[in-house]
Amino acid sequence: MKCWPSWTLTERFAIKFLISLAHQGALVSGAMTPLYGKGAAILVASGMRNNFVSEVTRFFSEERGCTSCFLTGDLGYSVLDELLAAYPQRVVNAGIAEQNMMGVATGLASLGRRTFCYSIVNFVTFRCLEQIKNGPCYHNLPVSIVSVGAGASYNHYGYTHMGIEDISILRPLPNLRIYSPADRHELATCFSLMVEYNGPAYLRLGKGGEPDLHNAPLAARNGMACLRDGEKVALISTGPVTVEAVRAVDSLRADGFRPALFSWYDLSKDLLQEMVFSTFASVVVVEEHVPKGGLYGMVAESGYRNGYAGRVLSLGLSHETLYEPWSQPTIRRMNSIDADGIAGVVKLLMNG
Amino acid sequence: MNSEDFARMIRKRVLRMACASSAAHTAGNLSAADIIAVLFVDVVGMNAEVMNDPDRHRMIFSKGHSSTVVYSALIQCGIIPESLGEQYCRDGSPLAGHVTHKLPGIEFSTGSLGHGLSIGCGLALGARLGCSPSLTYVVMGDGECNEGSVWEAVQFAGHHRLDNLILVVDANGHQAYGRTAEVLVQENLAQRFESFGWDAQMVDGHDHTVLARAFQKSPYCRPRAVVAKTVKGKGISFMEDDNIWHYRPPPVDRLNEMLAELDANGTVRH
Repeated sequence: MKCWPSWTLTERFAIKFLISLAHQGALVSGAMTPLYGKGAAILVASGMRNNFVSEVTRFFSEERGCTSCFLTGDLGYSVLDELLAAYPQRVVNAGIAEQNMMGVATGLASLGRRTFCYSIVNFVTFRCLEQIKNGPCYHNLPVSIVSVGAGASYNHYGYTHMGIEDISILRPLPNLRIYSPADRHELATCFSLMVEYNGPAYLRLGKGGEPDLHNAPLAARNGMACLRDGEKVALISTGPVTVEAVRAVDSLRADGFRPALFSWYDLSKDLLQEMVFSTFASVVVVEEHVPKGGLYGMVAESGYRNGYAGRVLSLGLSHETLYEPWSQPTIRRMNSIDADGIAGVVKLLMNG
Repeated sequence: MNSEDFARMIRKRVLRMACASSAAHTAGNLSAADIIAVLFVDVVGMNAEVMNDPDRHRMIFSKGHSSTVVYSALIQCGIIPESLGEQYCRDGSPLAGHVTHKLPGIEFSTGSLGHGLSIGCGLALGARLGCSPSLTYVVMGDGECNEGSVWEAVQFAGHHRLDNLILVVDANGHQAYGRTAEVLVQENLAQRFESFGWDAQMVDGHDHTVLARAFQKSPYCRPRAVVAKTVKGKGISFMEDDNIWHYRPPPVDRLNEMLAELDANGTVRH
């Protein structure tokens, strides 16, 4: 085993990165890329953002006609370098001017050019919401809005950078499909659905380090994946926080409880009646998002519409916990959307 | 039909539509009529076949509330039927108060100010990527230039030297609640565009010869801004430069008088 001083800068960075992942409780399994051959292999979860860049790079390289464009709002430093270098005409840094970026995308898409718009959650949604509404949505154009930092992934950067209300504000818009993958396999499915759809779509990504929750690419593309079978209680989650629900459910199984867990990744499709309401007596909604208009809002609306008589509990973010720059694990713990918090609530529910 | 006669015809239609519907925004439609006429007749040569050409010059009416002047031009070109003009702002009519892409001849729905120039940048960029000779014309208002999103687009076009993009500002000196000079002064509008790398000029917005020349692509490989100084309510003497006619529909009992004034003045020149 090498001594610390003799590791290269890159190796030290990778070790520090792994340690930060461990602090965040990431399961370093699944999406692994072996970094070094000799000695201790350093395995790094590539995360949804990097996987998205791989997906879009492959999409660009395989696209017939080579028409698509990609706009970034001055973000993606070192992540988008290769894409920018490979397609300098069609991949453009539009600058810190998101309203214009969305308008440019509207114009390009009207010419038959699918256009990706990329930035941190709030900047590519809130900042240009009216342009999204009046442009790609009202005109039903293939603009693929991709955000990074879903949930509290930007944690210490504070409230302005938290992607915790985006689902609520985008849901009402016409023609817009919303994709919220929990791992790279769901991301791959969401990406393919998005680029097959000739209309506007929104794809929200974590910031990095998300472990695999599925063991393989998804067989079905119906919009909601069953991660754990179970009875009586169904957990429904979306996005990067789903890993906490997985851990919670697995720990509950060790204690003899068997709730089911679903990951809802295509929020434009409502399969709740056939997959959840018809089978489970209670539902627990887990989201790293505000419940109002978020996943809880969606489940509640659908439950009422379908005449669901069971309980629907909400585990989501409360704004009161977000006025201090806590870390993501702390924010999750304070809102009971960490594994222990979720397990505690479900245990009470299943005991009662 | 030459552009001056076209302008007179569409002014008459604007007044008829406004009287029939009691809708607002008449004066801003009248100020833009010469700009629209020159674009439709001399620049785009608008007709039904043009809309089928993927390399056509495209117009975005970012000042979407100036809708009757656009609808009038489309009727004048035979792109939409005459009878639709009587249905402006009526239940079930496709002629909405702000221009809508549901109509042939209109590329984008607008109405929220400050959006059109960015879309124009996208069209211009797309034309360049596709090696198309298509030019993109965006018609805006001067009050609209209050919007920050306009200047985001101005930066983008200037930086990328989108020389196939031509902006026309119908600078009639008024906005909703006052003169532009009283709300957010912008006497130096042309210089502002220049400072962002545009080829900008201020012209008489009612002189068709000058407008036709200004609407050409810039020889300096830069986007072009034409600040067209206009009179709100141009053509109807009791409306000119009086912002009440932004809101108040024209008096129905004076329709014939207004139409006669337009005919008496012939071509509406300065």
